[in-house]
Amino acid sequence: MSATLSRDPGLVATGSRAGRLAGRLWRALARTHGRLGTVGMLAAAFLIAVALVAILAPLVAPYKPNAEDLFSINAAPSSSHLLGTDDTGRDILSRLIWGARTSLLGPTIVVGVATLIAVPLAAASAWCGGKVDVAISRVLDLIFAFPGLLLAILIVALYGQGLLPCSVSLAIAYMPWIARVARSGLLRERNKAYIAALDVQGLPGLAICLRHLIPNIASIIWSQVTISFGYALVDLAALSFLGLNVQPPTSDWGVMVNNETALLDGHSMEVIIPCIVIVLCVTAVTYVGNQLSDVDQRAAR
Amino acid sequence: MSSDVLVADGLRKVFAVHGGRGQGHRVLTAVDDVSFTLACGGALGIVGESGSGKTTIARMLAGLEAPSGGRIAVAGRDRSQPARASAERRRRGHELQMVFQDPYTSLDPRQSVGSCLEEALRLHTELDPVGRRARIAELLGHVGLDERHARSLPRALSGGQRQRVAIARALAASPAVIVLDEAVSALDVSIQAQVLNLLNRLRAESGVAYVFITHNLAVVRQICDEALVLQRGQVVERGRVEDVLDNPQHEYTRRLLASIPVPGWDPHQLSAA
Amino acid sequence: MTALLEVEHLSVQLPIDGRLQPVIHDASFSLARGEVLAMVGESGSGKSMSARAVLGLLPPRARTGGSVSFDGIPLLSAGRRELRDIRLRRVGMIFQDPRAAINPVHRIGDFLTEALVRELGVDGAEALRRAEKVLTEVRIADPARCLRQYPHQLSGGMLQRVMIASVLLAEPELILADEPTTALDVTTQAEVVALLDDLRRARGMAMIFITHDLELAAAISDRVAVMYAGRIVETLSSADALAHPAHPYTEALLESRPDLRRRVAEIPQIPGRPRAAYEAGPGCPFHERCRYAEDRCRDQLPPLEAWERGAAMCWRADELRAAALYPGSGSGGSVPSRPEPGGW
Repeated sequence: MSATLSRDPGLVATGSRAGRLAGRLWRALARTHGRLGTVGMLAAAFLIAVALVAILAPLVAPYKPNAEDLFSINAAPSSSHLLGTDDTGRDILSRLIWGARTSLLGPTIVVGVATLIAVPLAAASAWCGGKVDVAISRVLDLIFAFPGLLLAILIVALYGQGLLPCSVSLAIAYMPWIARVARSGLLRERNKAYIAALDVQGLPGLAICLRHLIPNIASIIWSQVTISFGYALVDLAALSFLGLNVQPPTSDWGVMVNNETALLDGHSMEVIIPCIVIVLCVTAVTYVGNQLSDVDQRAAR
Repeated sequence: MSSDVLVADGLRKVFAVHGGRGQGHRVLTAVDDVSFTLACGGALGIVGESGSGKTTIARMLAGLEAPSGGRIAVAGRDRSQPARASAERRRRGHELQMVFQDPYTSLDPRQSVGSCLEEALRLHTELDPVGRRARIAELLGHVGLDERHARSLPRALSGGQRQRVAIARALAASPAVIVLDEAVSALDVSIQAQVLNLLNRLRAESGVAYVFITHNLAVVRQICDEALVLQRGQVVERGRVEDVLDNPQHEYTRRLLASIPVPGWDPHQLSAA
Repeated sequence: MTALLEVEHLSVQLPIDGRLQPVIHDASFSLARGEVLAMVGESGSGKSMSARAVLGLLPPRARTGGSVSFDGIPLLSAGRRELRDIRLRRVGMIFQDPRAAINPVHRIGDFLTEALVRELGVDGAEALRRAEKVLTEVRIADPARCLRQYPHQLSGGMLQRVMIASVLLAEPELILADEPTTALDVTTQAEVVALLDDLRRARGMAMIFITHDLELAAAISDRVAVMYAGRIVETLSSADALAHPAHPYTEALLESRPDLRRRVAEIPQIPGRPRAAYEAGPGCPFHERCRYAEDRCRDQLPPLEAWERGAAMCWRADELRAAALYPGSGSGGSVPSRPEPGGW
């Protein structure tokens, strides 16, 4: 029933606080391993590493991203430039590291905003039912009808290019997907006896939603969020490709992939490497998301 | 002698049902003009099979469904329409609580037993955290659980233990009435006996009244003072338990009694009837 | 006459919480042709698993031991084709929840005729004819209409009859009924049980009826096997089941049922809760809850003591039997009292 590592909570371990903290961390790690599997743990570790690199970019990157070195244009990988340089002498590795910031920030804004709007809407829909549910569902249907990229182009045309307009427009486009998944999970939980019991107790509806309903579908939402993150990463790169998102010379993976002249000239490093990194990130995120949603389905006894 | 703690008068519940291919809507009367009263500290059994409307009545009493007609009053206060305001919801929770059939879905799987009871106490009492902790220990003791179960999650508990927690949670609100919707039907026979004895003891000690919904007439005999038999949404027989079970007047009640396997029972007699 | 079904020292282990754990220990029973055996137990007793083990319907990573032989054919080691053949033609199973066992997107007619047409090569029209005939046998009012309906249009009782009909179509020699009436109303239960009984007699089929209701078991079977914690703790004739149990668990089970006929101040209850096989210690699995337990019950597993009309796995079975076999002669007096409880 309980994991082999957990002990009777009544037994307080004697020993240092650090020891107890380490024990709790170890148990949390074991629980996560149970949920994600070994590959999932590796994927999650990879993602955490990428995020850390992005945050610590100034410390990690050997060069500034836009520092040009006109003496070593299109250089092959060497000890001073581990991945070589591009056509204006900028270090590809540093651009990759600095590029992680915008490339990861964008999707984070997208899924963050989308979830913050989607989950309360879904909760209101599921809890109140009736006319509220119908109204919200119609609004979601309307947004579903719009392809995300089209909406982004429209909003960019209105508000100009850049990370924020693109991210917010994609957030709006992604919101119904998260809302739909959240709503069906919430509806299923809402019909269970424990929610009825809390209702009969007299607990206010908001408290039931926040404290009981939403936490119980957290892993569904979480898995949908991680999958959306992957899609957002690709979509934002596509928007960069179209010239609507981050503009050159800012290093952004999408911008780097955009450099078709480099490909034609035969200097493919600066295009292929970001491509590979995008694929790896999306795969890792999607894998973790899948694992989380599997666990939830298995746990539904 | 004592006033009635629960009065239901002319209860009706009507559902609109899709009739399947090309048949449009059908109107289904789940509960049709059902009236009953519950004495203070008494126990009323509502007996019926599937489709009798007994669960719908339980849900209407608890405020989970709105009656299509009729009136419900608990402790003199009307509750015929669902409450919106949180103060009113809380008041009603203090008057009437419910225990559900399935012990495996009636507790929040992510909430420990202690936290679950704490939430109920915070809602319904003015106790400070120390007082609440003491009351939690008291409640767990009343239902025959150990204090250390307060830290357990529901998945660590058996069906019988979970049902005891559900009863403790109902008691935490100090209600005047507890509605038990097939509360022992999902339990093993040997555990059923424990929970039935517990329920009897609690009623004797605290004076809480029960509305006991069940299809099991033997349980009605052991728990209830009065009984009500429902068939397809209508009351076909009512009275004191001894009268209804020993001297049934309605043909359906007799058929129910005859269907129960007892020593010497022959199912063929029933089909021949 | 050779037994139709012979189960010897059956043991089943299932993966639980990541480890293989026992759910049935050393169960042995036999069934003659045309006989009805009821298997009674609570949660964790292993009663459902034993039926599934007979038909090879265990989860993929289960491990079995012992032997199960049907009409001389060993089933545990049977090949897939042989097992399928037996399941198709000779042994049928009725499940507890008909809605879970019948595909909701197919009509009843398709459900009934699928196996006939696909596996047994029966012609479509002929299969439908047989299906309609068997629906009449299970006393469904309008068989032709029923064939065209979908499962959600039928009540639980009717759906269970359809399930019985599907089993009968194959004309089996043995029916395994796993709590077939637990999910039904009590009046419907009586009808279905009577129906099963009539059909069984008419066709000479043997039946294993699994239930948690000891009184139901006694009413419809020839013999009753009581299971606890994965072991068969008692077998007895149904006539004895309600009046002369020889195992403390059977006796406690009878006493803890709420009495329909009179109210008692306190229903005799068994302390603790039912145990599964993997939760039991080396001794008798029931000893912690038993009012007659002694020291040796905790440490040593009692042997199965057999006598003419049954068998019980209890160190004190002889004493219980001796007390039970004296007919009650009113109040106290010459009736020897039940053995003293062992300090509980």
